[in-house]
Amino acid sequence: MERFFVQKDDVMTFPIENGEALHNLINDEYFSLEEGLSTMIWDSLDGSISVEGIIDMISDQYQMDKSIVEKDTKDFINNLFENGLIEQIDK
Amino acid sequence: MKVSELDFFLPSELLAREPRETRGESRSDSKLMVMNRKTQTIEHKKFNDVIDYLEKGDVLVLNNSKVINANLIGWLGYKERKIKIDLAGILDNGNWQIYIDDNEINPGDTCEFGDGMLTGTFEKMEENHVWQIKFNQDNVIELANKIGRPIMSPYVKKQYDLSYYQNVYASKEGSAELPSAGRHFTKELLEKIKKKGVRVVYVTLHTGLSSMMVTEDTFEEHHMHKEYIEITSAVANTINEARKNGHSIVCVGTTVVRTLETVADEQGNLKPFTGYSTLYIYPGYHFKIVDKFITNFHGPNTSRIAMAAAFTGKDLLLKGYAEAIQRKYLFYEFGDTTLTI
Repeated sequence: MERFFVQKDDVMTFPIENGEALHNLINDEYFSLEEGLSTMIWDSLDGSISVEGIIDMISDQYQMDKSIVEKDTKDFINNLFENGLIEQIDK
Repeated sequence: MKVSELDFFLPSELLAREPRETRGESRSDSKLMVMNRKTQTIEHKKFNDVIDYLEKGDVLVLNNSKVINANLIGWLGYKERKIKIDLAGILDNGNWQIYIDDNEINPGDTCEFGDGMLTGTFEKMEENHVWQIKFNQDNVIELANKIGRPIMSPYVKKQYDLSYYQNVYASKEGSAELPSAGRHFTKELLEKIKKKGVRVVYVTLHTGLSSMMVTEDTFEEHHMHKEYIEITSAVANTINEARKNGHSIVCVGTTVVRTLETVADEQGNLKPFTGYSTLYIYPGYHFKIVDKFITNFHGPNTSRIAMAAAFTGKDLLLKGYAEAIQRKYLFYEFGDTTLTI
């Protein structure tokens, strides 16, 4: 089953040098994402594209082995989820 | 003037991250840095000392615009993707000007906020990230206040209630962001000021997109968005009379300066006015009416620091900012403030 995630309302994103910073307004924690795959995945988490769709997008764009992309992308998204930065939605 | 001429390093620990009331302080407990243009000197005071720089007969001009919950989170289309917008202001054609950090919007795209309480259509892109939305509901401000939240800066600790973004005297709803120079005034301080014989009057400027960063190389190239302003005949008469009698006009905030300088004629006389200001003040501007100016500490690459430099003088301003940084004054809307005389 396809999974869709969105950035939580209480997380602010703002540009920093060489990437983006995320600020969790609930616990005042900051995270930094390096420009590239991390920011591409983060910016895609707006409910418009499933996890599988993100994996396909990255594999195509970067001409990378899909199995490697799948593991890294899912690990990254799980990390965002565990840190309370994203939530799953029904679509 | 090159934007880099007003550049400076702002240590991150000097960004005011919370309203001082949350630390048990009063709003007027902020620090006040006084810059004197005549003597080119700088004094370091507390905000309650501002009364020492006001004389009987002077006019203190404040902006009575009230902040709305301008940040809305919703969906594009039928839950296609999540979007966030900042309301900037209502336009003459009834559309709302908004800011959106999204490059994939097209004219005709629909949007909904608050589970469909507020719905609309993206009609026209004015420039990158700035769009006009035609909302289907008339009571946009009322709905925004129900379903939205205040526009927040990236450095604040958490989501603060709208009340922290209101000045104590604010009365007319319409601002996207706080006219923050007024934040230091408590009701008690205003009463003391009035008892001294200072006339306290209000103009209105609803803040919109004027705080957008200056990304151009020179201040002159930057485009300032227009903002709604209002001066009543009573206020215009009070200020004109005070000036005729040799008293000072003390402006609280860049929004008041923008309002008065827009309306004043070349001799500094005011008439009642309702409309929009497109005035952009940067170094080289000749002030017609402002005698003293209270404004918070602003970051580099902003139109606000350009206005501050225009009034104070670049050298004195930068000297003041260097001292402020050394003495750990706090910057931005919850921070400390300056008075230039």
